[in-house]
Amino acid sequence: MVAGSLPKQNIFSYILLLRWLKKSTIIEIIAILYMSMFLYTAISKWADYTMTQEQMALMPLMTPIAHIVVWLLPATELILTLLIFFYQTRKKGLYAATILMILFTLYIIDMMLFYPHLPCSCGGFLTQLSWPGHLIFNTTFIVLGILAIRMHKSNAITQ
Amino acid sequence: MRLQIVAFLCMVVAWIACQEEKPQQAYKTGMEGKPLPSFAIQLLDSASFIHSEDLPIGKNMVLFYFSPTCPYCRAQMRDMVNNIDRFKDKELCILTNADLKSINRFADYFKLKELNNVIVGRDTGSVVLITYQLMTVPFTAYFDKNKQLKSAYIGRMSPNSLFQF
Repeated sequence: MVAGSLPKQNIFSYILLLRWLKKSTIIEIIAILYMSMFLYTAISKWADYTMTQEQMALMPLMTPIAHIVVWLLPATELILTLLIFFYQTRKKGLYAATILMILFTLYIIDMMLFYPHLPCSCGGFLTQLSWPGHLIFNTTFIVLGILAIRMHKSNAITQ
Repeated sequence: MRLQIVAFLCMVVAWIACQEEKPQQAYKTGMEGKPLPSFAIQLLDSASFIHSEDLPIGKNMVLFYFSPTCPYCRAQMRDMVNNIDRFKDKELCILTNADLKSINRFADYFKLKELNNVIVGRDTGSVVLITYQLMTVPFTAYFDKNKQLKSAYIGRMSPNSLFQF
């Protein structure tokens, strides 16, 4: 063996480790993005409980259950944040978060089609987004979620 | 994991930093010290009207101008209804220029018809909007016992500012 060179097996392991590191970093970044968003929107909703409840009450079909949803939705977002935070439950968390984002997106499409004049109740700065802005934001998160799930799977196989 | 904890802490700190409450700025209408304008108020039964000059004198009055679909108006209305005891020595005049159906729905939702010191109605000629040159709602105006304007505010008032009078 020539001094300074690595054995073939070691080079292969190194490349695998590099690939694994890259994937894990990407998953980590997506997880942080999801956690930041859910934590931020959950706290924003609770911070101005009255405002969130009244925004929700304006939404079609939501009026009679607004007082329940105003607690349930941020609680769900916090639970998802915790699921994504812990490595053991991250995969389940990413699945649930992506499904939740898909549901939000379907709701946004419904609002865009039938009630475009009504405001959203996302909480924090997200309330300032227009409906098309919301659609782009949500679609980005869905794509990121699917990417993280796929990478998480292949990462586990590689491991 | 360490990176995540740092990110969490940054987010929490940033969020807390953004929560500093700004003091409510009074809206200068140029009508301070002047009496309530003269206008007709259509009541919820659609048939009855009262005139602004007929509003009871001898009691401070809060005029709340809203839009039934404005979430800021609804949030402020909720704060007011939840603390209605703090308005017991005042007359609440809740007005809009929206249609009566929407006003009735709004009044039912906040149970305004059950309150004694509350007048809910429609400013048929949008006189309040025109007089005070309002571009946005909610608009909250405080009148003294002689129905002269003391101060006015635009935008949702924080509960602290709302009950200081």
